[in-house]
This record gives sequence, structure tokens and C-alpha cells, in this order.
Amino acid sequence: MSEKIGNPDSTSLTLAPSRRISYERVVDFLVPIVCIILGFLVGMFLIAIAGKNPFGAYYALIKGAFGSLSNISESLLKAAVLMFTGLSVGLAFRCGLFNIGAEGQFMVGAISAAFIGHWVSLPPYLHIPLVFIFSGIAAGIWGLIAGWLKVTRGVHEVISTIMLNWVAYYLIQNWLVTGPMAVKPSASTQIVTSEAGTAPIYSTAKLWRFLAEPPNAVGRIALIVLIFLLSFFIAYLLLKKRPGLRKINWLLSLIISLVLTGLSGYFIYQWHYGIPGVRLNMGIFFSLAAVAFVFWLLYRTVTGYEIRASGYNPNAARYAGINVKGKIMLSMFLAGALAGFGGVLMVCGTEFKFPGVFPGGYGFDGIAMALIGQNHPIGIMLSAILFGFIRGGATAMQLPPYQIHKSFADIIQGSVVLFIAAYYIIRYLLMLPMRRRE
Amino acid sequence: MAAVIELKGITKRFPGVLANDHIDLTINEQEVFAIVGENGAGKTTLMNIIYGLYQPDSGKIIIKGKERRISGPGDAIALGIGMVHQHFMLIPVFTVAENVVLGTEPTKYGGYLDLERARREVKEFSEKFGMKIDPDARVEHISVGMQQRVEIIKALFRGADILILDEPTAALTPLETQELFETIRSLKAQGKTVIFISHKLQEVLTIADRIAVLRNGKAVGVVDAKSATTTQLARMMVGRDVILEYEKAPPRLGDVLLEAHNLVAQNDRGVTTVKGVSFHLRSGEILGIAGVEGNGQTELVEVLTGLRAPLSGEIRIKGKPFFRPDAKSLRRSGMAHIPADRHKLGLVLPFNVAENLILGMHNLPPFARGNGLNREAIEEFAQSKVLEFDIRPHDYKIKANKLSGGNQQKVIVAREISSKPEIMIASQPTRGLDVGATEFVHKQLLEERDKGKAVLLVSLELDEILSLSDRIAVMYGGEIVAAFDSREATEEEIGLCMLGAKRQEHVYV
Repeated sequence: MSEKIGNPDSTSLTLAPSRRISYERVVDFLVPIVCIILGFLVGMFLIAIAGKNPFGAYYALIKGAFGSLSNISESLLKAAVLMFTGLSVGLAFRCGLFNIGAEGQFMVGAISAAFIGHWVSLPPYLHIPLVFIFSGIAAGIWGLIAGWLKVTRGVHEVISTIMLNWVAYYLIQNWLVTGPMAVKPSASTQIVTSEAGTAPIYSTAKLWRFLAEPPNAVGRIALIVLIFLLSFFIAYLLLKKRPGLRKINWLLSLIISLVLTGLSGYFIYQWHYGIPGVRLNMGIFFSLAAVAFVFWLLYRTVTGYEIRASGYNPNAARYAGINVKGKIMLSMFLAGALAGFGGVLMVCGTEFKFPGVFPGGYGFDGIAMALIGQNHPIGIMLSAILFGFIRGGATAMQLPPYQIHKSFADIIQGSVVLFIAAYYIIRYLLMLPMRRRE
Repeated sequence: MAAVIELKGITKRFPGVLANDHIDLTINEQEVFAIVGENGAGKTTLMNIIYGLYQPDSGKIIIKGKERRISGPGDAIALGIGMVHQHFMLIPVFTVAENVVLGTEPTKYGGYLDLERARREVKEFSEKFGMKIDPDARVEHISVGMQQRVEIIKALFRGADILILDEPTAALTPLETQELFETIRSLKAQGKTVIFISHKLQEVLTIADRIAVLRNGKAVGVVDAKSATTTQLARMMVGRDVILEYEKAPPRLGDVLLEAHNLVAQNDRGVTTVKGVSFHLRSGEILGIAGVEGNGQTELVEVLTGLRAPLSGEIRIKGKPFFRPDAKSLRRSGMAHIPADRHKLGLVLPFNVAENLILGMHNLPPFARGNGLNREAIEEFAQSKVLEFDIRPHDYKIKANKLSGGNQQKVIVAREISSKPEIMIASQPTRGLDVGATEFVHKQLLEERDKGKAVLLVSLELDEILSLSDRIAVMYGGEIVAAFDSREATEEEIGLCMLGAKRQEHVYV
């Protein structure tokens, strides 16, 4: 075999392997897309078997996902949570760890958010950060337990995270939510079991639904400052790559960001109307920021380099003087915190409490997001957005005339994962044209 | 003598590579025919074509006088061709007999496996060819040399009279190699034809009748083993004169940089394999540690480089003691390490070349700025090293697992030398490398020595130790049993010490 692939010692043909490799890079990118298309075809086939019109059903799906602003908003809400749990699984995977525990970490994050949201009273600009910090640490510790067990006792993380999921489930849903943290029935309200849960969080801990409510005065100022900082940062990063502008790039960035801030400031000043009922909230921006953070961490920092080296080849990492055990613990902590933030989004963004009937599955879906996104933050972001829309659309498919159960989204997701598992077969097929040409 | 295999104009192209380019060869009955060539010269491809694993793009294969199309190993076996691959294809939990009969199991009562007959036949076979083996031993429990015998018996059991051995000595100890040669001679005496693939020239000259040399996919010549020399073969293989013996200036010794005092260490199974090793290493010299595999060298190197905690003993670097040495602090004190197993330790295979070139230095400036990676510095560094060390292809964005073995080793050597060490620990630095790449690594090590670095060379190849070292220590049974000045040492004496037949009374290294 070694003599077959890209023999670099043959002098006359050294250029050819590079061309092949660039084609391979394209193929690596294409594989998940092909898998998604195949997944949709399987779904189509199954709808046809069920005796319904697959084209009509997909039309309903698309309409359900994109049909109105409120539909898009619901899809993006799901995408935002999926991004967090997907990043959780994907980051751990980069360190060679299979985090099955995102579901439990998600619950721990959610219950912590419900706790801080109801039992602490603070102004919003302190309350929301406190919720994120506390929930991140709590869920991070939940993940860290598995990491610690692995490095000190050699317990495989798949086993420990699965068990920790159940521990979290019973601890939170069968005790905290029905016991110490349950909402107290009062004379004026009748509590139905299905509507129970923890006491509602204060409005200061709720994430701002920016499409429904115009910002208040503090919010306006905060937004303008944020836009200024972000646009300056992005402009600076983009300009830095142009060597001719190196000396004045900070000045240019300042001018660009001031112009942008001025323009957006005008619109923010004019912002008085909202569309009531649209639940999309600033959580989606936290998700996107997390995507950027994980990307930066993995590919632009020493820590990320060490995490990836430890994941790919722990022996070589140790040889290079990397503290592999420390990286395992760190990765599990970060993975837990990321999944926990997903729980925060659910509690502070849509439910405003830890609900009595817990909408589970986001953590497990994170595994699928990571697999489909090839454990790359950008890939995870794209697959979370896609499946957010599929889930949003599937809700609409339940309505007449199609009446397809919403678990249909799971079928598509499951078959895409199956095709991803057949990665090498699909990759082989995509490489065929290259083989022929050679 | 009649020709059993005739190859006429065999050509095989792979994406980007012309692996075999109009190769004409004739292999006679009852001869040991060796094929030598550098890694990537096309040896294995050619053998896989004969065995039916690949189809040639053009050319004819004539087996025993008839032109044949071999479309798979099944055809090859039917034609009496057997192949023993470099990596064995045995099932570890099966016994020897079960592995041999796999695929051609003898049956009784119409369908029941007749293991008794299998055992008997395996036994007969092994006795006939003088290969001692226990048919009931489980393959996972027997040595590599024994496993190779199982592979050979398996091929013979299927009626092979032409046997292809692909790099059969790569994983063997010197003693096992001698035994393999005995087997090959007895096979030849019983009328079999053996095709022997290798890049170890000395071995080929010992065992083969005729030797074909491949270079860049072409057969550059066939020579008679009796009249050939290693120098001549090396020149044919590489296409230029190769230095097999180096001219060294006398060492300019400096301070003692590395000292080991009474190191004791266990292997992973808890067996004490390093039993009180002491030595000192000065700047400007190469200290070679010779020994047969499994005499504690692996564990010694791991202790010295911080990968294994010693049970007792002490390491001093420039006089400073390290009681709990770890890889990071040792690297910081100026140690570099070329590991014996480049896939396990030396490289992160899914990383690209640039990322691999900074492994171990990734947290130091200029590659790290605080916790951020300085990508410009990394890419600039990678570009310069790829050119300086001629790592091919000249593209640092390529993944390490796409490189050939020689180029992977170049990445490691480039990295470890670029870390500007004072102490270089090189463990089997040329394992699996061809003549050209070996020469390159050797020159780099000698250059380090001449720059005043202290080099510890651990190798199983006595030739390598003899040609590079200034002083030689011999490890046997976990101890250093003898020490020599390389100018006074003879191969025979070192060989005897390596086998434990002789030891010096007071060893001071």
C-alpha cells in the first residue's frame, strides 16, 4: 500500500498528488451533504410507503419551516439549542472523548438556570450573566465527573456519561422538580400535573425576544456599544491580512466601525415596534458566539492544539510534553458547560421554568449534530440550523392533509447518521471520477 | 533451469505515480530470487500484481510457460503461488492449526470440521520443511518469528511452490532471521522457488541466488548474488554513490550533559526490564547502545525521555538531578527525542506536516503568543523545514498520514533537530527506512555530534551502531554488560555480548 499512494520520491510526478489531495478536500466536504440528500430520499421513500404524497409532504415541511416569521423563529430556537449540544459532543470528540452525557449536562444546566432565575433577584445585565456562569459551572462539573473518573480510575467516558444521564434525570426530574423546587400551589391557581415544574424565573433572567419587544434605553445603549466593538473587531481581523494596510489598519477599522455604528444607531433609535408572539431570542447569538469560540479555541490556540493532539494520538501528545489528563478534564468540563448553556437557552429563552414535562432529546440530538457536522464547529452550526428547520417543519407536517407524525424528523436525522456511518463507502464513490481520470 | 515466472513489460500506474514501468523479469525454478529497492520503488506493487491483488495496466505474466491472467489471490493460489505479507494475516485467538487450514478446512461426516486431521497435516508439513512449531499454540501467544512460520506453512498447505516473502525480516530478531534463512534453504532444497523482497542489502547477499534491483518503478538490473557487493547494489538502488561508511573526525568532547545512575524500571506488564543502568554522555559524542530487541532498551529510552517513571535511580542533566522526570521539563532542559515508533509516538498522523513540525515546541515562542498560535510563524517555519529537509511533497498542508515512511521520519528528524537540543536521544532512527533516507538521518546525527551536541543512539542494527558511535555500550537482560571504544570494538565481540555469551567485569560507560 505504501508504494501505491502518492509516492513522493518519483521525481517527475510530484505535482499530481497535490491535485488529488485538493480534490479529496472537496470530497471530504461533500460527503455530509450527500448523506443529507440521501437521508431526504429515504424519508421520501418512507412517506411513499405510508401511502402519502412525498412531494406534498416535503412542501408542507418547507412551508412549516419557512412559511412565516414565527415558523422561522421556532426553527431557529431549536437550532440554537442543537448548536450548543452539538458543540458539546463535537468538542469532546476532538479530544478523543465520546460524550454521551450531553443530555444530563443539558438538564443540569437547565435546572441551574431555573434555580438562579427564580431564587436570585438582580438587574438583567447581571442576572443573565450570572445564570450563564452558574449553569456553565454546574453542568461543566457534571461533565468533569466523567473526565475525572477517566483519568484517575480509567472509567470509560461512554459508560460514566450514560450513567450520569440517569443520575441527573432522577435527581432533577423526580426529586428537585417535584420536591424542593416545585412551584407551591396557591389558592388562586390550580396546578395541573402536566403544567407543573419549578417556579417561574424572574423576567430579569429572561432572554430578550428581540423580534417581539423593542429594546429599552439601557438595551439600546448596550446594543450600540456591542455593534461598535464587534464591527471594529471584525474589520480589524479582515484588514490585518492585507499587508499594504498594516500600519493604518486600526484607523481604518475605527472609521468603518464608526460608520456602521452610526447607521445602525439610527435604526435602533427608531425601533419602536415588535411582532408579538415571536419567541426567537438573543440565545441564538450566544450559540453563534459559542461556535466562534470553539473554532477559535480548537484551531487558534495552544490549548486547542493540545486538545486535538491528545485526541488523535495521546501517546504522541505525552511524548511532546502535553498534559493529556489535564486536557481530558478540561475538554469534559467545557463540553458539559456547552451542553448546559443549551439548557439555559431552553429555560431562559422559551420555557421560563424547568417544565414538569421535560422536552428531552436535545442532548442526544447533539451527538447526531456532531456526527453530521464532522465534529467541526462550522459543520455543527450548519447541521444544527438544518435540523432546526427540519424539526420546525415537521411540526407543521402533522397537520392535515398529510398528518405525518413529527418523529419523521428523527427518521431523517437517523438515516443521515447511518449514511455518515457509511462515510468510507460514500467517500469511495465520490472519489471514483478521480480514479477514472487517472 | 526452467523459468517459472516471466514478466514482460509489466506497467502499473497509480494516481500520480508510475509504480511499475515496463518491468521484464525472469524467475527460475528452485532459486531464491531477491527484489531490492528503496521504499516506493515498486517492489510490493509488482508482487501484488503476481499475486493477483492488482491488475497490470499492460504487460504479460507467464507462469510455467503459459500466459496467465491472475484476477485475484484465488487464481494465484491455484497456480501454486503463495504470498507472506509484511503484516501477517492471522487470527490471534485461533491456534496454529486452525489458522493454517482457514479457508481450506478439512471436513468429515460431510461438513464437520476435522481438526484432528488439520493438526496432523500441519505437523507433517512443519517437519517436512524443518520448521518446528506447536500446532496447538494460540497465535497470540507465539513470537513474531513463529507467526511468520505459520504464514509460510499456510501458503505451502495450499499447494504453493512459488513463495513470495514481502520484507520478511523487517520484524525479526537476528536469531529469528537466521532461522528463517534455514527454512528458505530447506524450501529451496525441496524444489520450491522463493521470491524475497527486501531493502536490507547484506541479507539479500546472504540468502539470494540472483538479485533484481528496482528504482522508480523500473528494473535497473539483475545481478548474481555471488559476484555482487553492497556498494554496487546501493548505487543501483539509489542511482548515485551512497556512503555506507562515514568519515568521522575524532570527537571533540565537552562537558557531561546527561547522566544516568542506577536506573531501574519495569515494563507495562510489571516485569523489571531495566536493572540498574548507569552511563554518562558528553557533548560532542555519540554513545551507541547495542542489543537484541527486548533487552530493556525500549524502557530505558522511555525513562530517559520522561515517558515512563523509573522505580529507582536518577537522571542528571548538566548536573541537575531530575527525580520525577517528565517529557515537558526534559524538553525544556534541552532534550530531543527521535522515537523508535514514529506512528505511535513521533507523529499525530491526522495533523498536517506544519502541525507535526511544531509538536513539542507548540507552546513556545515564536509558535505560541500567550495561548494563541502564531500561524504565520508556524507556516513560515514549516515552509523552510520542508525545503531544508526535502520533505516530499513540498506541501506542509498535507496530512502526515499521506507521507511515505521516509518522509514521515524526515518530519520527526527535522522537528527534533530544529528544537535546538543539547541532548539528542535517537531510538532506532532509521527503522524501516531505505538506503537513501537512512544515509540522510545518519548524516544529520553526525552533524549534531560535530555541532557539540550529545547524542545517544539506541539501535538494533549493529552496523548502524558501529558506523556512527564513538563509544558503544551493550545491553543484555536489562543491564549494560560491556562498553567499548568504537575504534577498538569488533563486531564479533559485541555480538557475543549482545547474546549474553560474554560480559565485562567492570563496566564504566
